[in-house]
Amino acid sequence: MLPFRSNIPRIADFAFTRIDGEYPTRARATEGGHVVVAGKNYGQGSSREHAVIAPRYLGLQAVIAVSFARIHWQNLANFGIVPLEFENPEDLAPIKVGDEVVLEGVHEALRAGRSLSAKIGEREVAVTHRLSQRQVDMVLAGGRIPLTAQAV
Amino acid sequence: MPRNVAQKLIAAHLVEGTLEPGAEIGLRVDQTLTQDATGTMVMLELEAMGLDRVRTELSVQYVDHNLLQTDEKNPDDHLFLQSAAERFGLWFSKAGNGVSHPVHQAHFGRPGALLIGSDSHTCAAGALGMLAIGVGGLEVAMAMAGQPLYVTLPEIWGVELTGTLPDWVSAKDVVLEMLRRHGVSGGVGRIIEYHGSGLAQLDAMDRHVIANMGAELGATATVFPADDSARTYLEAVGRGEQFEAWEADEGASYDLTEQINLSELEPLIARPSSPGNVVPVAEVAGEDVNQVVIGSSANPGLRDFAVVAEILDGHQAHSRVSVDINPTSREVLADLITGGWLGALVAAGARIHQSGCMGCIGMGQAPASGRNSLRTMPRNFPGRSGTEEDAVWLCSPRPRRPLR
Repeated sequence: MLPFRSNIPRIADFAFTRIDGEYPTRARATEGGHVVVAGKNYGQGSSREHAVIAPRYLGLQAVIAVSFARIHWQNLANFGIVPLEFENPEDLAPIKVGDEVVLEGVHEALRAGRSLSAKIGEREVAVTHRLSQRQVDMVLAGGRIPLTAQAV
Repeated sequence: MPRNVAQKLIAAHLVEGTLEPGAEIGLRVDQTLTQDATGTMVMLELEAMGLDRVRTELSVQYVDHNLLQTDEKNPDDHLFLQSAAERFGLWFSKAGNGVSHPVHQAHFGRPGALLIGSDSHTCAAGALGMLAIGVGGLEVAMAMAGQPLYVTLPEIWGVELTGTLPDWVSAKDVVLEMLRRHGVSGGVGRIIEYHGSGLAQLDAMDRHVIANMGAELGATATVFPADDSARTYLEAVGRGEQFEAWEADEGASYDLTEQINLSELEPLIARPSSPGNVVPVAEVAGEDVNQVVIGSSANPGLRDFAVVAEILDGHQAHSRVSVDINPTSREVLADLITGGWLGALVAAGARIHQSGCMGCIGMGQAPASGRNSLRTMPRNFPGRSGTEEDAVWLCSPRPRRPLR
């Protein structure tokens, strides 16, 4: 898929397919966006923004992980996807594909502090964020490009 | 207060924020690098911003990833990148010049500079006493436009090297030992700074190997002091006047500390399918091998090829083993020709490929299903090689012994 480089719709067809072949189809079919939940060191290794832009194109709005790799975490914020971490890593295991995730009042919560509550399936799960004020502004604006555009 | 090298580099580039652990700081960026797989996006971002000329000391666009021209897409990108480089005032390193990291070190590396790059192995430049950080393309675009790089202030992890590397043990084993101890997320939120009496025996290319694979530990950067190794290197590449000493103050301390006695190291290897799966080579002796790939940003030095040529010299590679040679740069290829090593490799049945990332990023050289592929590369995540059921192992090419 590397030669598809900046062809976002095309590379999106490959997003996460190594671990879930149905992800692109399901994500496209889900109205109102979706959330990815993940384990440790999510986004390990790569600097490639495509790894953020492609799932965002498919409707990704937030990632809730046990922990993040540095560059990917920065890329998520740059492109307006909210990176959240489980307060208790054991909350990850019971989550099933297709569970509904509700992040109530996320704008206010991101500005107010580090803690948020997510309703995942039937359970309330405590999550946190490590975004700076600068990053909160950019996530809420939809990413660093829209934020910069607002200032121009 | 006495300061370590990382603290000095950060302080010299600090333009926003204060030096409190965990706080976000803004750093002035001196140099940027982009490669073709990420650079197309960066150039589009610059265009969207309406930038006239880059505002860094220098910015370089490399073409080292998408080299195979099986249709028009990659050559179209190369032309686009070249025109964008002319438009915005970047250096352009054309296809065939080689892998960005060693080429950048040879031509532009400068002690004390802050380099960011839209490639995770940008951190390799730490070998010369630079602060070098891999980031996403948008961060690079912003830096080209004169904006600071924003990062969470990392903890500084001082790794003291003592002792002497035994025969058959090389720089790659130092970083594999770090991965054996700490795994692929052990460096997250940290800058690794190597120091101690064991440093002197590591030349700039050895340090490049260790700094490069700091990415595999998840570290923000890896820093070496700019000492005699950096001076010798810069003189060798004809830029001795750019040497500047950057060393830790007497009594400097670190947020976290670690010791490696080089004398106690043994040859190590990462099993499939993570650079964190490190075991002693002795434990896996006897494993069948179907492919051997030499060369990558993790082992880019001339010796990393020459030693293989000398091992193979006068022999034939086994008929069931594909020996693939990826010269890291045009200069390395030229030196292999001049030194006679390329002839030895060709005669031994090795396959010679163009300079670039090649199989390291899954651009060709996919191994046979389930067959062991032994590579002098930094990564072996599942499927990265292009083969669904791959078995890629990572090791050093280089026993530490004199060349002829």
